[in-house]
Amino acid sequence: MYKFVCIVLGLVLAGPVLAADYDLVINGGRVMDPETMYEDIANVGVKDGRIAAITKGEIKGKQTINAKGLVVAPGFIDTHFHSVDPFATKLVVADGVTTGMDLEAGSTRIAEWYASKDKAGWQVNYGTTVSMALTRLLVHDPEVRVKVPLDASNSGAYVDESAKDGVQGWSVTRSTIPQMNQIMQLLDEGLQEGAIGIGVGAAYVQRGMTSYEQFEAQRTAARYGRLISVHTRYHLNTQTPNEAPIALDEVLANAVALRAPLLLAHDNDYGWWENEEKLQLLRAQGYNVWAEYYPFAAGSTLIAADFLRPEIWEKVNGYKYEETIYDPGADKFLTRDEYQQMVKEKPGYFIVVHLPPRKKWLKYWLTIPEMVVASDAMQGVDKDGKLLPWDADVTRYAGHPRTASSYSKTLQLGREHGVPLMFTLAQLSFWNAKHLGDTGLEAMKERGRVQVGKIADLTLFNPKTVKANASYKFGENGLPPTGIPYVIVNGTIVVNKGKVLDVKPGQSIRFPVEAKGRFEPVTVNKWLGEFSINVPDMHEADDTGAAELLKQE
Amino acid sequence: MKKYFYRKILLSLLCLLTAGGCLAKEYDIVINNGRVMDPETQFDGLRNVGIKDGKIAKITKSSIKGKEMIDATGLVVAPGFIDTHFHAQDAFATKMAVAGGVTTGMDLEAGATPVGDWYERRAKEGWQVNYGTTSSMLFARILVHDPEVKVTEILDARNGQGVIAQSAQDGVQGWAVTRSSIEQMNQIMKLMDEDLRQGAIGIGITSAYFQRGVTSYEQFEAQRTAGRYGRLSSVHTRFHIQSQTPTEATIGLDEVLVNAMLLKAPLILAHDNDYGWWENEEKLQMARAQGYNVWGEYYPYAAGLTWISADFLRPEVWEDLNGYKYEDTIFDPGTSKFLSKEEFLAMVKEKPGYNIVVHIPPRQKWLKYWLTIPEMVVASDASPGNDEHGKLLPYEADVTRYAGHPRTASAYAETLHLAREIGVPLMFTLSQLSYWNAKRLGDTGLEAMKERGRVQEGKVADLTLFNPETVKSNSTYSFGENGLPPTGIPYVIVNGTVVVNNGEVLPVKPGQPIRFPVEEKGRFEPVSVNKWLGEYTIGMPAMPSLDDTGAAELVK
Repeated sequence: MYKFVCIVLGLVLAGPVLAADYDLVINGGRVMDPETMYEDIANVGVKDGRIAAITKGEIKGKQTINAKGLVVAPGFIDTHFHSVDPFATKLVVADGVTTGMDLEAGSTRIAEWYASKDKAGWQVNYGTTVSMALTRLLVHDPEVRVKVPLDASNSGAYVDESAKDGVQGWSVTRSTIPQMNQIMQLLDEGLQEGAIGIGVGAAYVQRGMTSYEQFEAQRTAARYGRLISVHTRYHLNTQTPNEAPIALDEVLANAVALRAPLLLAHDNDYGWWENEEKLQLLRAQGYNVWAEYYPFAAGSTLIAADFLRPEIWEKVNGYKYEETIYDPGADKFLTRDEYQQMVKEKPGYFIVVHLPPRKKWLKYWLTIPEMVVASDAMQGVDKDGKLLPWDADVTRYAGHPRTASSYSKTLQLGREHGVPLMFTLAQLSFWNAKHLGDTGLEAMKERGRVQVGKIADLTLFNPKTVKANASYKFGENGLPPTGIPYVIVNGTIVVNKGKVLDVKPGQSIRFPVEAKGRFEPVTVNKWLGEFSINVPDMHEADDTGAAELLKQE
Repeated sequence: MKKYFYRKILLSLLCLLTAGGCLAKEYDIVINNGRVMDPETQFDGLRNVGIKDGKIAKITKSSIKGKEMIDATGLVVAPGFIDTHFHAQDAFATKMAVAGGVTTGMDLEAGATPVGDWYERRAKEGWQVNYGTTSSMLFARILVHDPEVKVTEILDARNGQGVIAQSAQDGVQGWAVTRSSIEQMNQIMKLMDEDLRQGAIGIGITSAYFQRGVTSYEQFEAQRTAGRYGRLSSVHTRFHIQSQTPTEATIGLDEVLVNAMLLKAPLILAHDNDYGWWENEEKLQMARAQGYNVWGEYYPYAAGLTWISADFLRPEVWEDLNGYKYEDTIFDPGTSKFLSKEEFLAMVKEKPGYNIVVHIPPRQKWLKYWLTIPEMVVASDASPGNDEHGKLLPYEADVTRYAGHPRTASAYAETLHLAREIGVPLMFTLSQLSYWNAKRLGDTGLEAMKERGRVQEGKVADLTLFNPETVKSNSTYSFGENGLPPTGIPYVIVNGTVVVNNGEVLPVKPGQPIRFPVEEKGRFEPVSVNKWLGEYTIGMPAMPSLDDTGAAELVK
């Protein structure tokens, strides 16, 4: 009763009582909240990092933003974010991102990883999964000395080192049962320390990681109810019998059997329609499974990549070099001869690969329910592959334009194709938060919404003019978008009139640290105890030969 | 109503009081003094069983009388064995299978087409055991992708080889290697839908045989086509037998299992008897725990049977990749000896189509575990009743002339034998041989399977009587012994008719069809890109309404 009276009083007196009470007031914006479908011109009051009022009444704060003509949207949430360095983070916050988490590649030594970010401070909210590929490196490449937490910002050097003995163990070695248990124990430690889930770059370990190890990794995350984010084993493969969709089937069957959440990384290539159909059918049964895309028809990779050889690129896929292989440094497409020469001269050179069918497919992704935008944002490097400092000019960034403009690009394309803006905002923020919140992640239950009481992560953009400026051409790779003048993270303005300020209000997105891990080793005898009936005359010791079969040829 | 009720009670009471007399000679068959075992109710006791009009009418301790009397002293009276993987689609092979205790044999893996005609012909011919089939995806693919093959007859395992050979004559086995365009996929689905309308038990999908031709979407669509009727797919998975990452056998199950779960469609995993079986069974158990109707089969042998020219027997694969030795693994059933590498290579040249026995060493270790996996069922993979030249034998031919895998004649006897040796509870084994098969099939809505696989009053009298202490298989891999009948299965009863009597197979044909009712209308729905866009995207006015996704182009 008391509560009711207070609410009524608050409503009646709203304007005057709350005046000057806010840290920040955003006036006259078009407030849009995908969860409640609320859409109206209203004033927003922010206090102590949270949205404290959404009102038609006049309110006042220490800081005021005039949002006339702008949409006040939930800050964009990026679940596929390798930009774990300050420079790249500067690029993405200018694009409207308020939370960037590397859920696909992930990190190691999770407690230290979060501690270093907490200490350094960060411009956007940050989080990570524990990395399957890097954990495999720790177990299968013991010759590599690793003394620091690994993530996308520093792992390249260790991956190079792992190849020096002639075998990239993490990539090609099948684990014995004890090795698999070691890997799972390390992953479990990461989860115990609060990792958001496990990042499985299966395509990079496709010959080394058995289906059982993949299954066990999902079970390890499932013991905590947490997700795995998978770059599937056959991503990009169009040839039967190992077509890309079958690799989703693999991890999706596991997700259902284990009732574990699953995030399909960049579902932007062959078979995406089949993948999205299956994900929708399973969501209809209550499973927490969903996928990402980024709104570009081209990828970026080393020119020496195996699948670009003429035998595959021309003969199997039927592509022409002069239409698909783009040199961002020279700003031109390469002929076959130029391509082959460059493979010899600079095998590690990053080129842009246009995948022709994606041009047709891209617009459909804008219209798929609960398919979310995740940028696959890259590290902030220059053209020599060196990390740039925070204050470097954005024209020095050498990489895929998705880092600086995935979200503005989606808004632009959505407008061009007539996608309802509320739908697009759900793809950019709400659905990401919803599915993550459904894994139990508290920080995501209070983000991705523009509602009173929720955290003030907000992106303000002009729906009529917002557009991407970053391009594939060197010098333009990192240009900030047009039409995103304000970005607010935890109630603090980070982008002000289009300028990125030197502030670090980012918070950690993380599960609580637990006192005990949940690791359970796999053994053949335990398996027999669980999945067969015990018969007295049978051997108790493992003689199934299962362990033998996994040994390296 | 009330009056009628009391009269019924009174009648029952009278019958009880005068049991012996009242019911005397009332039964067609009486089985006396057997150990009646019923896995569903876990009933296990010495009883007399009365059969009337093809059904189990009485299970009692009292003495009962019938026109025929069987003394079952020392025998188990078990539910007749149900075989869901049964290519023995000819009279001769069926004769061997029934001697092995099988009362229902259905080819759910390879299947047949057109299914309506298939059932009609079978009913006309009469059959020794109950019969049923799925619609064959392989044959449907031949009809669509190999139009040069003139098909004038009903196709099933009996004559399928001939059609397959014909399809290769133009240099391309279209059914095996061609990816379907959307239109072709729709044609294939329509053919299978028609078979389902005609009462097919489900769809048989031998993916491994067309692993390069069947796209994952076509596989998915086939499961959906069966799923529209709530019926099963039986799948020989795409990567069966493969042990190398990244195309391990288990991923072939993942593919069809996830389809089964998201479509809520039943699934049988055919012969889950090779690499990765543990992972498959684990996932199937976990899926069943969530209520999905999915299960796997095995046959109790460590060896398979195939052409000597099979691709995976090349030295590069067999020796280099798998590490096997020819003299330990490749057995010539004609000469009853293992082949050296030189002998093997010579024979590949001389007789590429010769059937040899392939021992797969790890299966020897794995086999005994399969006997102990809940709801993993025995299904024989019984092969057609051929002689050594690949010609079908006539019904009355001697069993010593059969040239094929011994699983045809003794998969069930061998299971009982092995289970006794390692101490598996007999009731558990009977579940694997009959009840679980019936239960899972009944759960797809198949009425005929709701009343089989049980020894209970009111159920169909499909019964196998065996001696639990002596039952064992006699058929071996050596030619001349491939089809020998087992020891210790003296009686087999099908729909209340004795088919095996004192170990002798009688020329009677009491088998009934196992089939869904024919429906008036099919349920086929074509796939189209625009329909897909309508269902799975929000339709946008500014976007083209015609397909320009390129999806159809990609599968050309």
